[in-house]
Amino acid sequence: MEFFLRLYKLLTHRQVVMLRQSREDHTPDRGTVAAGLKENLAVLQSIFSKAPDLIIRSFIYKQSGQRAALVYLCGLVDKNSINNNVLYQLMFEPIDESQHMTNLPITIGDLKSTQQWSQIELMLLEGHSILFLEGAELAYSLDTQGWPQRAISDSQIEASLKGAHQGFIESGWQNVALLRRMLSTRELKMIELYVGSRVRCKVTILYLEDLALPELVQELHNRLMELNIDCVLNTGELTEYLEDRPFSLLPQFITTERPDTAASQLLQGRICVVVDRSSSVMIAPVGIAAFFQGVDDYSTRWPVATFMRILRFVACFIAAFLPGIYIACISFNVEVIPLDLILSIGQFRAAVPFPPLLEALLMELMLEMLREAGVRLPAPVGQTVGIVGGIVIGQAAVQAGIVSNLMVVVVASTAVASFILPNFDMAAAIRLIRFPVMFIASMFGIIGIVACFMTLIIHLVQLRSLGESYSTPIAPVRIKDWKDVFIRMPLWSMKNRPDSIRSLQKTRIGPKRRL
Amino acid sequence: MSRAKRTMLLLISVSLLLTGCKDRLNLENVTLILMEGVDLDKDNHLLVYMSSPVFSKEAKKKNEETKVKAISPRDARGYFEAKVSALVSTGKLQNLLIGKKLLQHPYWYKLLDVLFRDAKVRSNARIIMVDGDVDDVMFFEPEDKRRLPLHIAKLVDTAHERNLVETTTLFTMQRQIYEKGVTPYITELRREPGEIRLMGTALLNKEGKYVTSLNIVENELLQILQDEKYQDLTLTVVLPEKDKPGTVFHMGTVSFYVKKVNRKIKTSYRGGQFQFTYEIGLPIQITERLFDYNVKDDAHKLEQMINEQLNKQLRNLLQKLQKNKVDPIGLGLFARAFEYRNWKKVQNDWPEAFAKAEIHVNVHTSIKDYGEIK
Repeated sequence: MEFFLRLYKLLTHRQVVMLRQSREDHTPDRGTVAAGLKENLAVLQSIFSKAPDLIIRSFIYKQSGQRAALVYLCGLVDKNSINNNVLYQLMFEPIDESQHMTNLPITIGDLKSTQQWSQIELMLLEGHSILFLEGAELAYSLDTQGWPQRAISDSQIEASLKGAHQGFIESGWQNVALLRRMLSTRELKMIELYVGSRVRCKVTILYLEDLALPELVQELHNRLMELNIDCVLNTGELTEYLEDRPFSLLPQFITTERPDTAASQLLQGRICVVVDRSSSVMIAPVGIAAFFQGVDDYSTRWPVATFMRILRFVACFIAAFLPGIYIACISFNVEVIPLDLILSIGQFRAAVPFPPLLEALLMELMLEMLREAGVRLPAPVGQTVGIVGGIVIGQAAVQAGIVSNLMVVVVASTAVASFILPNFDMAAAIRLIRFPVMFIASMFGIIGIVACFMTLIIHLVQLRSLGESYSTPIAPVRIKDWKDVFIRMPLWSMKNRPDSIRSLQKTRIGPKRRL
Repeated sequence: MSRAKRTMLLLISVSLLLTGCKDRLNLENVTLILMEGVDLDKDNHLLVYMSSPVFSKEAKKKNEETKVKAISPRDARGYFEAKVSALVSTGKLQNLLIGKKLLQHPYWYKLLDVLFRDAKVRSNARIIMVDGDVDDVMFFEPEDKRRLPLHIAKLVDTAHERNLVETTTLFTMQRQIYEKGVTPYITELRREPGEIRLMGTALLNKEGKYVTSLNIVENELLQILQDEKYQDLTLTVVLPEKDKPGTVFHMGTVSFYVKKVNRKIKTSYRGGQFQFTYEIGLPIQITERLFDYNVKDDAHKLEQMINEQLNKQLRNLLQKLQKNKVDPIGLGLFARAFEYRNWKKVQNDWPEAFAKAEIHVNVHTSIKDYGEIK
């Protein structure tokens, strides 16, 4: 572990050094905007060399007769608003003597003036268009953003039956807007910052000011500020840099594509991080219980939701330990199997030439391959792969005597169980845990499984997410919070926010349910 | 962490793996003994038998059976390993067959020491006496039954549910041997041509020697006396008052289902002997009656007639037990509970005191139900 850490530090250090060098090479400080239009355009050309998508439109500003130029990156702007609200207004609007020169006749909401070239460069790259006027020592940036993007649709990975059918998309400000729609309160505060040295990426921290602990917000803010990376393309990348324990198997933050999930987490006092250009939102800090809570839990009636909750915990156990238990039972502790089952397992096993571990590994690997193949292929083909894999390979493998019938049952139920978990990251982690459990079970039997379980619990207990305990409310026991862990009590009984998430306000609703 | 420490850690973890693999035993490499048999041959040599399932599809038979000559059951294990295809395990032992010949010899149960001592042995294995040679049962392969060990296990369990035989497992055997107030009893079976038949219960004395047997009907009555009725207990008695001549059938037959046994025992000590008085309340349900009877007017009289027959049968059974000096009922426990001082004097020779005891039985049946017709 130590060795890995050192290696990791060495690598990151080199990266930082390299980054610094590249930054110095690529972005020399060019100072401020000059008065002459020609000089300015020349500077611009030199900044954006070999950029055919940079459009420079020169024209005469009708009101003053000045020469002017509008610059933008085509594809990142909304052409309609450039043509109608900017160019038309500037070129054809009749002269109005009473107007002051700086009061441009542009009908666009967000208009800023700037002098710094570095600022201008960033603005252009973000889809603003820049207006230069002859003789003015400043440039105007116009908010004409409009890049290609998909419509807001249901999330594929976190489908829900009764929840909202809006998912986050790949543009940060729209995602923020979706959250604002969910929580239209002035307490929803945001901190905007930029991450990425080579390519900047806007990251927004959202939290409810009257709930979230300021020190947690500060901690997250600091971690983001300390980041020194090339570029962030995805929320998943960002979480890797922010995690408390990068070598843990378990996810320490939730990433979600659902605004309603994110909003409910915000309401519990947690903090959201929206990353521009990524369709998922990070939530911190989280505990193990949050990975078992689905959105539908709160929109279905509580007995049903409770049943689902228990099912998930059972499924989690099955997904992690069932193959291990099976291996342990048939290679060490034969006595625990009921006699009739032994006789049938014995018959199946006698036909299989491999030891149980190899048999299990073979099937598990096949299953993981099938799953991965199904994900990558388009839906109709993916289904075919599932059928071919599941039925044909499974059946044929049994008949060929490569694996036993019961092993197919065990592996298949493990797979089904692992798909029940609502959170993809957690499901993937548990699928991984299964392999070491299988190895240890084949060497130590049931004792090995118990040891695995203990190790897992020890790890859970010491794990932190943003410095907060990961295993609350189970390990530092908060009995009051158990209303929403293994079971889901009626919503009206959850009068207080969970103790396990430290927040500024404890009370959630009035003291009594109105019947 | 220093280099030395790291190397140590690596070595320790590797050595863990090495020791771990030692006791691994895959299911297909196990010869599960489902039935073990112990008997004596005509020269009084100990014979140990085993029967275990065969998993391979290539084998024509479902079971393999082996017989070896050995000093003790543990000694036999080595010979077994030399003969059967895989490694022997007694973790799923179902039945332990013991030959009647072996049971003639006192302290035979010391041979079971290995089964009591080894933690991996299934302590719920049934101990069964074979009336005849164990050989005949072990190598018997009925074509219309499942594997013989499982067939016998099921047979014994279901018969016990119907109160036809007593069952004793390795676990309960321990108690019966070392408890002073009770004598051991085990299931008894016999190989008949073409099938296995349960004969009832074999009664042993304190030394484990075979004394006598109870047939199936006697066993039902014993279970009433023990207050250990399981599911259905149906008794059939012939009332001599209602028997009619001139037909081959017993026309005085009445069968009834015992719903519950309310047993009360009064224990006392008088004149140098223990006295036990049984008051047995039996709520019954008539299931069969071959004679005509007006139950509306004379239900009580019918109960009386049944009482009389039952009293007679129970007294006969008790006499048989006393004559043979065996106490499978466990009346010694009552003696110890209620007459401790007197019990202390006889505790080491309870069967003798039991034989001398005076036992009264009074059955009080009450008919609760006549079925669909009166």
